[in-house]
Amino acid sequence: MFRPQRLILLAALLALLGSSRGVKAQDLPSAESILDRYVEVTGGKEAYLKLKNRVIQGRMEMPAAGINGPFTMRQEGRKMRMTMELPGSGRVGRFAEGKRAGEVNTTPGARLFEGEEKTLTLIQANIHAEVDWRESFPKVKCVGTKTVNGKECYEVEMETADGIKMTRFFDRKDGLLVAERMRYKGQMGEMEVETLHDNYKKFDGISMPTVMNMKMMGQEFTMKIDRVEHNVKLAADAFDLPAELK
Amino acid sequence: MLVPRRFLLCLCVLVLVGVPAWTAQEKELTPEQIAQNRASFKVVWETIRDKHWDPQPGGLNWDDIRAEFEPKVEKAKTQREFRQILGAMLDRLDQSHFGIVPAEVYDVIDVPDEAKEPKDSKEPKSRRRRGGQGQSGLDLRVVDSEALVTRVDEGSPAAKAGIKTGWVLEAVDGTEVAPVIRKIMDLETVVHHREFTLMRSLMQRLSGDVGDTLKLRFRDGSDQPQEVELQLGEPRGTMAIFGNLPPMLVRCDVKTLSDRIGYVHLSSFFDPPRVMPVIAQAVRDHHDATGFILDLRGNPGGIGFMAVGVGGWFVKERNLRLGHMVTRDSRLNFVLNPQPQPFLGPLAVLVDGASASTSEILAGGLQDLKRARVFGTRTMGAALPSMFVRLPNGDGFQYAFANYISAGGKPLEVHGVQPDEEVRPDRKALLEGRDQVVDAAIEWIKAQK
Repeated sequence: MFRPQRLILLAALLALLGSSRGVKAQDLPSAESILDRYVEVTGGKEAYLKLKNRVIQGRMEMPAAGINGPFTMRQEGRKMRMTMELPGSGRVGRFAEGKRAGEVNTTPGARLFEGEEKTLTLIQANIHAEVDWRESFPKVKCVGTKTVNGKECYEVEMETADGIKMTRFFDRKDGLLVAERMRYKGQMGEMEVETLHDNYKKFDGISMPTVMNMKMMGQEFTMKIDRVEHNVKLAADAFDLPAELK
Repeated sequence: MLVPRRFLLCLCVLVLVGVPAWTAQEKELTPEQIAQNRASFKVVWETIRDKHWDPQPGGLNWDDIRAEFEPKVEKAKTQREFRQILGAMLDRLDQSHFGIVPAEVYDVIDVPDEAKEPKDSKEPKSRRRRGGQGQSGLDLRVVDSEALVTRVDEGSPAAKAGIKTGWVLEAVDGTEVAPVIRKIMDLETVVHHREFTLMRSLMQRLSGDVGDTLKLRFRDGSDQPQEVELQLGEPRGTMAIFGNLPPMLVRCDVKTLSDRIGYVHLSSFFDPPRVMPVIAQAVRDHHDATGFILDLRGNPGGIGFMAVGVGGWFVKERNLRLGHMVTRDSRLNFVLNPQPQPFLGPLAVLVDGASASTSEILAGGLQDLKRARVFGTRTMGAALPSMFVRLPNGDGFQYAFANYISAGGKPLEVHGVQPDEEVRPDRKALLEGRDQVVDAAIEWIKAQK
């Protein structure tokens, strides 16, 4: 359930969510089984745990506005560093290192995250987030089925220990994550954040979506992953917090 | 992106003046163009229906608007007619930040002028090239119905030509300025946009390519005519490109005024990779200054969140908000992030009727937070967050997707920012080489000691 886009834009897609489909509650699988199945169909726990670090390169596009730029994301253990360059706007850098997370952005400046923003960033920084879902989301429940982006999906409600809620939609046939929806609460306010996950590809035995279409505040974004590398040699200071955040 | 429509229109005019009649705006539309325009109308209408922050945009029945304008689009014979129809539809909203950027604007930007000029063009070169990047180094404002020189950049062509602040511009290339001013004042029904429109109209007449020569006639400090031939120089600042927005020239001038007062003049809120470090350095360099002046006069706005970035250099409390924007389903706060070693002394912000959008968000927010005292004249009142998209026919379309409410709880749209101290440019002071607005800010800062 790798979602680098949330680390950048926290956006998602609801528009394509279809209407509820009649599956009786007693016929629904448990949320636990759906989430464990996702780990299995994307490579399995053993394959995930072999991953020590990861480097992802891709592009963020906002085609309607003519905006696009490259991003690079590095993860190791529970540390993360992501940078994105947007021509004419500058650099966005996001950081997580164990207990702290923050952002250095050319335009609004530097800040450490608090509350929901911090919790979610730290969860997503974990390179084994998919396997560790029980730790991140102690409460999970499958509440029904829905057609999402043309696929029959299980609808799974998930909640962190501090009460952050989100809903994920998993393909009933192949078990892959199709979409995610949440009402995100950050420094800038609350907004609907919705994402469609598509075009799964395998990297070192792990399948991950390489195209994520997102919608936030009426604007649409696309994150495209071009390259993924695992277990590479990273500089010793690759995850140091930038001076502005220390 | 926060650039008001008035500025957008002036920009288009400015660029299009350099694209003479051969741009085919008057040619009859081809079937392909008609189809593209039909699709473009659909995009514009649907975008406003779906993305305007008010489900009933501008209090209008948007279906009725479609019923009224769609048949007109079908009857449009030329590109100009089509754009006029779209413009009329957008005017119904009576809100800033809705506008059409003709495709030719992008063409002019993308293609060298030489490649576009027909060999048989009979337009004089200076007239053809209006809208280029050449600069005179003059800034003008209309005061008492006269075009006053309010600033002459050091070392600029205007300075080298001996032009002084306080002189009155009377003619450009033999064309009298006074009738233009009268016409705009007669036509411009929205009073709070007048200063902006007048300023842009005058500056447009002083534009052209580097090396172009302008023949200017002024009335000097003794009310004597002064004929000046001025060759436009290289632009100061850098050209910023961001998404579908037409390129903007950005200048950020920093200096230290008397009594150790820091001063930053920002021409527009673009190019954060270059501008934000300059502002950061200016604050560091003036950390122990007695005061700081942010001059946003004539600044039409730009990237909205630059207001947050700039404001963060002048506060120490966390989670202060300049204001918030409201879309149909969300509310986004403009939260200031206190930066390391901010300047916390007296802060003056200078504005005028040509300060718009992001300038208003910053000035109004800092004023509402009681962090800054605002000097000058009331701002334009055009502060809606907006986007630029390209339409199927190649035109650009700017639309506002949110309303903006300043920290004090009032919308800035139409109302603008009312200065704490209203100070208008005055010819006598300008002739004496004084800038009364800056002087007022300095006096206030000195009194804070």
